[in-house]
Amino acid sequence: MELLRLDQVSYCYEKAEKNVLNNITCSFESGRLYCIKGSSGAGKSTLLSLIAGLDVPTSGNIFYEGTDITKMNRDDYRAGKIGVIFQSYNLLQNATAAENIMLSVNISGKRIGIDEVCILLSQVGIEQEKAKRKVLKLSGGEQQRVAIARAIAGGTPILAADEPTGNLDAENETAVMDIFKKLAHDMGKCVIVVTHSQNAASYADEILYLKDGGLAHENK
Amino acid sequence: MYILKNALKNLIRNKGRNAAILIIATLTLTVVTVSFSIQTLSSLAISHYKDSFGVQATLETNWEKIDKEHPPEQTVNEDGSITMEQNFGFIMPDAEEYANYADSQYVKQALYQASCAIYSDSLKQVDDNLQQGEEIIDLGDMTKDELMKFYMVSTDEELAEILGGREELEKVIDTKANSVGSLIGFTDLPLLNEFAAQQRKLEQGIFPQNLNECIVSNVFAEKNDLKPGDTISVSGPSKSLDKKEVTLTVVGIYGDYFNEATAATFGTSYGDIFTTYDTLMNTGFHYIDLTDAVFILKDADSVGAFEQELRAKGLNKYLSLVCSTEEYENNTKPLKNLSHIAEIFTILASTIGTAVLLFISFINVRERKYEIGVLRSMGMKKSNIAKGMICELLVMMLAAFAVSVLIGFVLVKPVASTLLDDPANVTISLPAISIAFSAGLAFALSIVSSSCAVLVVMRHEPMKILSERN
Repeated sequence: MELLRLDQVSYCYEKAEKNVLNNITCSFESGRLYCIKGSSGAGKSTLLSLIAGLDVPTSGNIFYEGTDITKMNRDDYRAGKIGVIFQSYNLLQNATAAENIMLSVNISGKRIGIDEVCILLSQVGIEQEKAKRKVLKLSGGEQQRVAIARAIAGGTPILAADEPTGNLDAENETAVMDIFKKLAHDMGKCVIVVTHSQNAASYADEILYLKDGGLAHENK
Repeated sequence: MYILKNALKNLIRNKGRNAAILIIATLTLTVVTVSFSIQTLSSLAISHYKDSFGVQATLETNWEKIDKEHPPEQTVNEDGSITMEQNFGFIMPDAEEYANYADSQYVKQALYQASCAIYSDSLKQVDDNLQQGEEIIDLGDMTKDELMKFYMVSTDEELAEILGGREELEKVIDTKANSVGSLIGFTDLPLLNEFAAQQRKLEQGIFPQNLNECIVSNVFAEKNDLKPGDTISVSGPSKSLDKKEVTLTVVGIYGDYFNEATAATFGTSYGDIFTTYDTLMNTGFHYIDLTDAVFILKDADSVGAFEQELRAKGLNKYLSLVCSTEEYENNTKPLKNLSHIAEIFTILASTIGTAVLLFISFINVRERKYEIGVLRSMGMKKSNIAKGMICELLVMMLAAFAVSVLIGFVLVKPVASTLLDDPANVTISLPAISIAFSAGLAFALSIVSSSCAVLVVMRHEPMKILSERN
């Protein structure tokens, strides 16, 4: 079922001469895992931020279940429809891992107990003791996993991840990609992953390649 | 609820920055609370001074104006006499006119003193006069024959000319002989100069407060065998009109040291019987002289307006309202200056404190841009982020306010005691209005500093905030 559709989406940064994204048209369905690949600076993260509703296209539209997200309340869209895992994690540094997750869930209007949070964190490989530690005191890989847990915790229909395994070793990369796959295939989520990793891309149902501002399907 | 929880947690999370805000806010609010209290207390002291003393004003003859404007050539009566009005162009207002003048919004109180000679068959005279001592002359108590003898004239016309008219002569003719003293009515003790100067002192009983109460001198009491509680009956000075006696109760006896000192020169006045002004005016006696009248004005600034009102009510142009604002100004000027300085200090402290807090809040929000970006990326509404930040600042300001009020309570007494010349005039404590002002400022500071800073960041998209930070 089509969940998200990009229609002639272009984006140009302020004061830039050229569009970084050019008339991109594509759609994303529930229950599938997508990987977006491309060289550095190709616009992968930009595309993901437009999908996540963090910014608006210069032209074109993005539709969520047929509704243009620019016409929706984008705060509600971000809080309830899409979970984002940022390349630089974007966690509240002075808060604990558990607090980061609980706050994110609270923002989406739901409630979550500390026990559920601990279970969620253990699923991404964070022990209970570290759940109550300030994010600042966790390693890069651990922060990455807290960010994944935070995105999953909200139970949003879409999950967008920017290089989610960039700071993880092969073992943890496999574990995380397994979780994404399970979320897509077992729980019917639409998972979109931006990655350079060939291993991570191998989990995808569909691979999209971003080049010269355009998007192309890549055969697996 | 989660917004408040998160705000409270943020207070701990960012304790370093928040401590700086808390210290500056506490300092600002303490300075403002104390300086505003000083301003309020000095205003209270001024107001207390106004309430207690006011400005004294009297009606006095403007001789300079009379010299300039009133022609020396006046109408002369048939008998050749000239009245005071004919001579100088005015007569002093009587009690009724004074009462009319005193009925004004500018007058806090009117003080009067009046007197008239009293007569009694049952009381013995105590004062020296012409009849008892050759060197001592009291013209006011002389009969017509005595006056003719004194002025060495042989006809009524000649005497009338000297006395200022037929009317004055009639008065002399109608006045009874051998008064036992004077009945002096007063509205207020300060008008009794000899008592104020301790030349006369109440030695037994109380001052008259109610109708028909009086005090007499120790000499008079001794001569007439009077003690507090006794009554005396006296009549007025007019032979034809004051036939009825009035009974007064002696409520006190005063020692007269004034007469001891002046008797040799001016005669004595041991026969002065003091009563309330209302008692004297209610006796119905004739030939009562208003000897002193003072208006206590509410404010030194209202002197001009009051004089205008008096003119409109018909005050003679040769009479002027004279008031001594020197004492009032001397007493209130330092307080006014202090109040003014405290006001400037309050404004300065509020302004500087607000500016510093604004600056720190701005830096704070710039430093928290990343946090705001993260919250926005998670879908937290701008308004909720603002609410959270306002909550944090409100809690801090509440703490700063509580501490500043506590410090204010401790500081206001020693500071006010040092600055106010006569702190006994006012009760020194932290005025409620200062606490309210400080609370208002604390609230305004938290709203202005948080809203202003939040607005700066809220203009941007979350991605922009995060990318700038990253």
